[in-house]
Amino acid sequence: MADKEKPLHHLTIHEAQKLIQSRALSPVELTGAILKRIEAVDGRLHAYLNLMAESALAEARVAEAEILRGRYKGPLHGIPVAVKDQLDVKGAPATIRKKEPQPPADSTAVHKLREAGAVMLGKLAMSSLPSDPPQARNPWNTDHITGGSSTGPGAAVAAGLCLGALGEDTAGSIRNPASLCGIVGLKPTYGRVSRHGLAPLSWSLDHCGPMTWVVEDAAHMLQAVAGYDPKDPTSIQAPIPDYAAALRDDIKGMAIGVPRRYIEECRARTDPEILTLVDKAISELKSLGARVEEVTLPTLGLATIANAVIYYNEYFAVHKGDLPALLKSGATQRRARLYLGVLTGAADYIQAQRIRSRVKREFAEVFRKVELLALPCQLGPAQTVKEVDSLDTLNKHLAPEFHAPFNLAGLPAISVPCGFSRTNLPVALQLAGKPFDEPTVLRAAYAYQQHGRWYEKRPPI
Amino acid sequence: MEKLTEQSLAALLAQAGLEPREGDLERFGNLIDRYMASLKALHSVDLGDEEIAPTFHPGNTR
Repeated sequence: MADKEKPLHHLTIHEAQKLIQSRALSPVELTGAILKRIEAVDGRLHAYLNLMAESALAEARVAEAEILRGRYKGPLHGIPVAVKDQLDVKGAPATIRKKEPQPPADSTAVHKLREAGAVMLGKLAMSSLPSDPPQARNPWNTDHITGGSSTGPGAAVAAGLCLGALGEDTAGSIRNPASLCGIVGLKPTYGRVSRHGLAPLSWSLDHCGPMTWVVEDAAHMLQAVAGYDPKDPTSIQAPIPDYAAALRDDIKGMAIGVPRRYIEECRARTDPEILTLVDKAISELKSLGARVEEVTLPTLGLATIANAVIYYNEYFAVHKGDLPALLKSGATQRRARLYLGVLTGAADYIQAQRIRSRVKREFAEVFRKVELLALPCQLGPAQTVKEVDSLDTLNKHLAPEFHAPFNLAGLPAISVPCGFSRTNLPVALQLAGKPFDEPTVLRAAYAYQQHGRWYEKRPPI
Repeated sequence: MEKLTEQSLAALLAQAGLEPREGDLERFGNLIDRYMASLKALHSVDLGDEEIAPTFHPGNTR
């Protein structure tokens, strides 16, 4: 009953919802097609940790019955999605949790996806799990990494093993795999999406957000999961805009700042090809009518290390009760993070929080002049699995890079594809906005996406 | 902040009631040295009267 112009696993949420709403596509048919796709390729990608095929098909049947009875809930109704292992799904094993491996309830974000009618396919892989499962592979070239730590969502969305996913970002963990896998990854404002039922890495830096093939799908998923939650003490009570509606406007006259001095600070560690493609994307934003100007944030050079100090200290505190066991049997990256946590004193943590305060103020000043910042979203294309050392991520956190400043300041930031490297691996542009101004971030990302049309090219797998 | 020797790091861990896994201190030596240098850089900036980001509010019960 579906429009068979392209394989069902390559439908975006936006395309599928139109077909489902008009009853040209059944949620059961769509879920079945995705499950077949998973069966065909996930043996090579290792995106799923826990596939819940039976319950997903049962949920799809319920969605189909509801839609046939005229009770259509909205854009996610009957859409097969999945979540990073870090988010609790009732009854599904949580590999990351040592103490409560079978969570008794859904995380708030998962609960909200269910309320929106989404079909839950299962839990996706992430890096640095206690059990060290097989590493997820990049669908553009399976010899290469996906980037982490939302490794499974990156691979699954890019390869069509779900139509959308939720990831988590403490120091770039949504935007990094999104950029390396050629998908869209949105880290919302801190407090916009509840962290309740999200296994913590660092309470004050963790952000939950959507990972999708296109910008409009990120808008649909954010709409479903955004909002105040009394179960999360950092959740913010603020109006929820219509994110999809924000995509209708163009970016003529939009003031976009480029933190050129900071990009220069990162230059030595950044592949020149990334800088060239991102500069080209920024020029294209200009050609779409945006006013581009250079901005300076004097303390930004210390934002990455301040983020790391807060991260490792809070990580150490999160795991304080399990330290001897974790040091004995934990994965390399987890052990290293804990050692760094031991080495961080109270004065270091407080200094990092003071830098956070300064950086936040500098961002606020810049955002009085511009509406958005544009900058790269990665230091290079995805490396090969063989090239990567398990300590690379931690080393990356110790020198200026492009993700952590937005975790430190809690600002919304999106990764949107902007081309391919000479080795045919994805490259992304990053756009970051004012607190709670996801509509402007999404609007600019969508305008760029529709101009660049990189979403038309799918991975060869 | 001085560069940490393996012995002084082991002593710090022992103070926290922890025993490092065999070979870890050697394996993570370079990372730890870089981290210590980064901590030094963190303290090198003059922040004046800047206060910490999370602020205590007696009326905030959430």
